[in-house]
Amino acid sequence: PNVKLVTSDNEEFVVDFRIAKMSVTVSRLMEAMNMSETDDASLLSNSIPLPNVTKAVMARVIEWCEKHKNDEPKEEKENDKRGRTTHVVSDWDKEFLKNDEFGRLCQLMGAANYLEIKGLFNDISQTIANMIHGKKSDEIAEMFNIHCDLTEAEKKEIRKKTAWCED
Amino acid sequence: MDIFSLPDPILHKLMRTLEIKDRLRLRLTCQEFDSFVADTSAGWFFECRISYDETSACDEIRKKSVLIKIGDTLFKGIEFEELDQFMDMRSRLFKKIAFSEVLIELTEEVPLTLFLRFLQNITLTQLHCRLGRSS
Repeated sequence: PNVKLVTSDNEEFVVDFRIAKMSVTVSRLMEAMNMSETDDASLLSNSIPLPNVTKAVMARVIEWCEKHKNDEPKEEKENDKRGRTTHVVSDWDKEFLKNDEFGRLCQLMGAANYLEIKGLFNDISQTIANMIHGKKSDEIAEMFNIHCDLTEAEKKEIRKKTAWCED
Repeated sequence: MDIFSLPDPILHKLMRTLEIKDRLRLRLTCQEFDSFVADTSAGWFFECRISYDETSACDEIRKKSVLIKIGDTLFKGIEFEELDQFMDMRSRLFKKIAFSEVLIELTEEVPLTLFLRFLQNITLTQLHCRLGRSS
């Protein structure tokens, strides 16, 4: 069975039920609209509006979901719920995200967050963390196009306080 | 796209995936990141270890300094007199942090007072004490 998803720019995507269910948000909406896998009429007569996702971003989300639709659900450990985890981005996911410029990554991250697709969100989050990892502050600023408004004295003070953990 | 255009809950989640050293470098990029890093949770780490600095070749330094390891990050050569500065940095680095285990080796060089100061504002769920005696 298929599910119709409608983006903010009114584009309709027809996706497999399993793919639609990968999004917690879509899953909840389908439940609220009494759409069920065994009821074709309910699927045909309804579509899920996704006002926070554009056509271009949705296409990328679906591409990711297609690849991961048969993945085993990951068990969430107690410590994962509390905070920091190191997420391993698979080779396919690295390849999938490598050509996205930062702005597009942010849009995709926003969509993954809104749609509640945890695997995709973690992939992007870890990809951005990897982009930052090991870079000097001025390199990070350049990468994110940040204008540094700290004075030299403020920087010196921060460096003084963090000297212990510098390489 | 500006990184600060991301909603705060997303930025908070992103902060949790960063390593401690990367958080520090991020602080130096601008005022906004400086305060944002301080206001976000550093998340969960398996281990925090405080011990005397056995890596130091100099006896004098070893006697008056400690080594603090948070996850994979090592804070070396923190002299007891500088501990206030370290505590200040701790508060600038994160609002919250969680460990599964905090191991503190108390010796003549690492006194109980230091242990108590380090644990200020930290909630302990379990405390295990193991006493040993060097032969």
